[in-house]
This record gives sequence, structure tokens and C-alpha cells, in this order.
Amino acid sequence: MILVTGAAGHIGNVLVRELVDKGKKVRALILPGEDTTSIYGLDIEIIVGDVLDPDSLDRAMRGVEIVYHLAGVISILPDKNDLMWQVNVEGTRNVLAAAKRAGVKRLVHTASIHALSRNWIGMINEDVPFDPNATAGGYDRTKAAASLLVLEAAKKGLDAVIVCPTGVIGPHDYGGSEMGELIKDWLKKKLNFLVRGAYDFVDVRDVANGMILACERGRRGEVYILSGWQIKVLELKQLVQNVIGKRIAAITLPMWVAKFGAKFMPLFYKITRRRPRFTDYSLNTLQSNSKVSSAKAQNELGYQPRDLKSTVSDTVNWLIRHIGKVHR
Amino acid sequence: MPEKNALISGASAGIGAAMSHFLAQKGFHVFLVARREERLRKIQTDILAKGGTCSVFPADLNRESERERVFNAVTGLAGDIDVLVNNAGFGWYGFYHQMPWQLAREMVSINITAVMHLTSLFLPGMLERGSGHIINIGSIAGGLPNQGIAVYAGSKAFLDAFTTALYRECHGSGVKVSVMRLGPVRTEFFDQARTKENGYSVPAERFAISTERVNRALWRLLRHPRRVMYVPGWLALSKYLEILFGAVIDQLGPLLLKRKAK
Repeated sequence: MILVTGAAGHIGNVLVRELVDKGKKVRALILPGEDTTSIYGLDIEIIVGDVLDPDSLDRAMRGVEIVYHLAGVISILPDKNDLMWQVNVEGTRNVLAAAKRAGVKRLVHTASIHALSRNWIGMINEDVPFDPNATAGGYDRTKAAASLLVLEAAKKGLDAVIVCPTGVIGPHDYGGSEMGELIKDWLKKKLNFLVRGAYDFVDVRDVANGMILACERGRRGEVYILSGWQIKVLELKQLVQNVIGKRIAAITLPMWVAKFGAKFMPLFYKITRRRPRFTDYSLNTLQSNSKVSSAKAQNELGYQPRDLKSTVSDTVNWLIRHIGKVHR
Repeated sequence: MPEKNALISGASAGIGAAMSHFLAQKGFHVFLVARREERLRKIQTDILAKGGTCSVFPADLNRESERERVFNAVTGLAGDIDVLVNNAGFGWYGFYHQMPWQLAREMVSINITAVMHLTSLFLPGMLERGSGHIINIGSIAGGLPNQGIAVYAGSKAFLDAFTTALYRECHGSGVKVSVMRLGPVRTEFFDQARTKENGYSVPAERFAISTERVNRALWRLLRHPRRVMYVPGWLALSKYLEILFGAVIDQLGPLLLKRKAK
């Protein structure tokens, strides 16, 4: 039996789909009151629990050999830092402890490229250290701290590996990931604001596959970066335009304008409850070093990311099927 | 997958919202389809908080492409659906010659075309599987084409005929097709009708029953499928009204519409 925490999320539901396709028996951990549309209709066992509730984790891990730990909170706004710390760090601590109690044979922890230090010149690989004091944002700090807990547990006997996906995009994005929401905006809105910048994006299905490979072939206590391809925001927009065969009207803002506007975004969010795109965190990310190498995962695991053209095409077609006509 | 699922159109308010809550509570996975996403999300939050499960599919059923999209998205997830409730619809009360043409066309599109289309999309899969239940939300107005509801009564009469024909076509296949002929039900239906252009208050509003009674009737219908169900039951008498008193009502003319109570 395989347990997947955070199974209803974007990577989670795609991972569950891949595992089910491979004929595995999967148990999905979902929060009480969580929308389970993304995993509806799949032949899996669903168990309600919370990574902050150790008892529920013990129940979830009964008879489990493999755990994929994905449950986490992501926010590009500073006001969710407490919740992020609770779920991402304390939640991981609970999962590790429960896995040890249950005698789990292998645990795959989902960190993030953001867990790695941003103060790195040159190609980012697995030599970059986790930085629990990162200044970029709370998400980075929690993901780094959680990863250090996993490495410590691996040293003490738990057979764990860590994967670090970069910017995830792809189909089956029911919850509305940051990137999915951005592309949705491009499809729906009459006018969009962009900034120049670039980042590394990876197909969610490749991440899921990479996680399964890491589980099967990864070495204990090792970190594997699951990256895709570096692409500029404007190139990404061009790829989306190619799929829909229409131009997306957009104004490219100078970075200083966007950064000035970003100062007011936490307030904007408090008032409108609409999720902002431009925050200090997201803008810094677009400007940060995004030359990432997945050479280790390719050599050791046989990981191979697909090209972004097919990713974007599948993503856009999936979104159109789920949000309807492109409004223009 | 032991659980059953149901798709409810027009789930954002009124009977559709009440049925969504009810079926989720009865263990169904409910697919909520309507135009207003925020309201669907609110209903979803309520259902999830009570331990039910449901999925939200915002869509404008006025549009053919949207209906196909809902079908593809839902079958992509669930494979097939067990219960289809064609509930989306709206009313309007007033002189037909004062009814804006756009409104009349939209009424036909939502009350008739969307029902036909969703049925034609989902029925083949149900027949293949040999099970399924299509429930159309009709009205006693379908048998009482009275003053003020020319198009509405026509659209509901269509549902009566459509349901009866399909019920007979599907006989022995395991698929059930039903129409619930409702009397007035206390929902925002009447506010909607009142606030549309040239619309009057619907006089029948004062006899409205609660959505709970409709839910109870729905549950009876799901357990004991039949072609026609009147809610409340005594409205079965209404089918004789037209036959017995049609000639008298003819003589009343537009009397009922004279009192323009806004």
C-alpha cells in the first residue's frame, strides 16, 4: 500500500493517477472538508486526516510500505507564514515520526527548488544547500527547514529521499496553482500585465514520474532536482498564443513599476480576497537565478523532462476544457 | 467506486441548491453546474463542511459549447453519471406581446434546449451501462397554459412530452426518465421573474411550498422511479383543471393579468 499525503493537490492528484495506472494500491490522505474533485472516480482508498494530527497519520500509515509526502501550504503572500510553518515543517515532522512508527520502507519528500539557497552563482544543482534562513519568503524557509528534518531522519535510519521540483505547470490543475491561474488569466482577461523575467518550468506529469523513479532508484538521504526548462515569461506567453491561435493582449511593466505595485498587494488581497500575481516574492523569483540542472536525476534515476511546448499545449487545452471559452 | 453521483444543473440557487445539499447528505457525489461560480463555491464549502463530497463546474448552459465542455469535464472525471437532474430554468410572468424577444429566446434555450442537449450527451452512456436516472424539473404550468406564462408553460409542456416519449423509449433498458411537476416552490425564482423586463409578480407565489418537500419527493422518486411525480401530490388534480374548466378560463381573458401588482 502506498500513502500519498496532499493527494488532492496538483502534483498529488497527478502522482496518484500515475500510480493507479501502474496498478499500485494507493491510499490518499485528504483534509476534512477538502475538495476532492481532482481525485474523484479514481480506484483508490481515501482517508481523511491531517498532517497536524499524529493520530490520523498513524491510522493512515497502517500497512503502508511507501509514503509520498506532498501535503503543504504554498503562498506568495507574507500573511500565511504561520500556517505555512505549521503545515510544512511541523506537518513534515509528524509525517516522519509516524513513518518511523509504522515501519515505512521508503519515504519520498517533496521539497521545492525554493528550499535551496538563492545565493548561488552559476548552475543550480544538488550541491546548493538548503537555506532555512532564506530572506526571499516564508515558503522557502519552511520548505528548507522541512527538508533538513527529512535529511536528519534519513541519517537516523528512515529510508527517505527528497525531490525538488521547479515551477510546476500542467493539466489536472483543479485547485488553481500559481502558474495555472496565471495562464487562466491570459486566456480570460482582455488585458494582462506582465514583467520581464524567466524561470524554470516543469511538467507536473514529469514531476510525478520523477518522484516514482526517485522512490524506486533514488539513494537514501539524497536530493534530486526535478527541473524542466528555463523559459522567459514572454516566451511562455508566445507558446500559449500558439496553442489558442490568438494574440494575448498584454502590457509589459518595467520591473520597478511592478515592484512598487507589489508593495500594496498584501493590502489589496486583504480588501478584495483576490489572489494577486505580483508580490515581492513572485517578482523576486522571476528575477532570481533559474539556471537549474536535473543532471543528477537524469543520470541516476533515468528522469527525462518533456519539452515545454507539449506541456503548455496540454495545459492550455485542459484549462479551456475546464474554464470554458476563451473570452476575447 | 461504491458511491453514486448526480449532476444538478442550476445548482447555484433555489431547488437546485437545496437538492445539491440533500443528495450530498444522502451520500451522493454531486456535480454542481451553474453560471455563478462564487455561489457554487459557497455551496461546495457548506457541503464539504458537512462531510459530503461535490465538484463545481461553472458553465453558462445557454451556450452549446459550454454544455459540451461540462459533459467532457464530468465524464473525464467520473466516467458516467448516475443521476442527471435537469433543473436549470427560469420563469417570467406577463403579456407575451410585452415579453422581450431576447428573454423568450433565452428561456427556450435554458428551459428546453439545454435539457435536450444534456440529455442527448448523457443518455447514450446510461443506456450502454443499463442504468441511470434522468429527472426533469417540470411544472404544473406544463398542463395549465394560462395567461402570463405563454413561453414558460410551453417550455414545461415540452418537458412533459419529452419525458413521456423518452420514458417509453427507455423502457426495459434500466434507464429511468422522470418529470417532477412542481407547484410553486419558495425560492428566488419569483424574484427573478419579477425583476426581469416587463415582468409581473407571479400570483401563485402565495401557495409556495418549501424546498424540503421537494427534496423528500426527489428521494421517493429516486427509490421508486416513475414517469410523472406531482409535488405536492394533490396537484395531480391539476391535470383535470384544463379539461374541466378550460372553456371557463378562456372567458376570463387577461383578467388575471389586469392587476399589475409589482
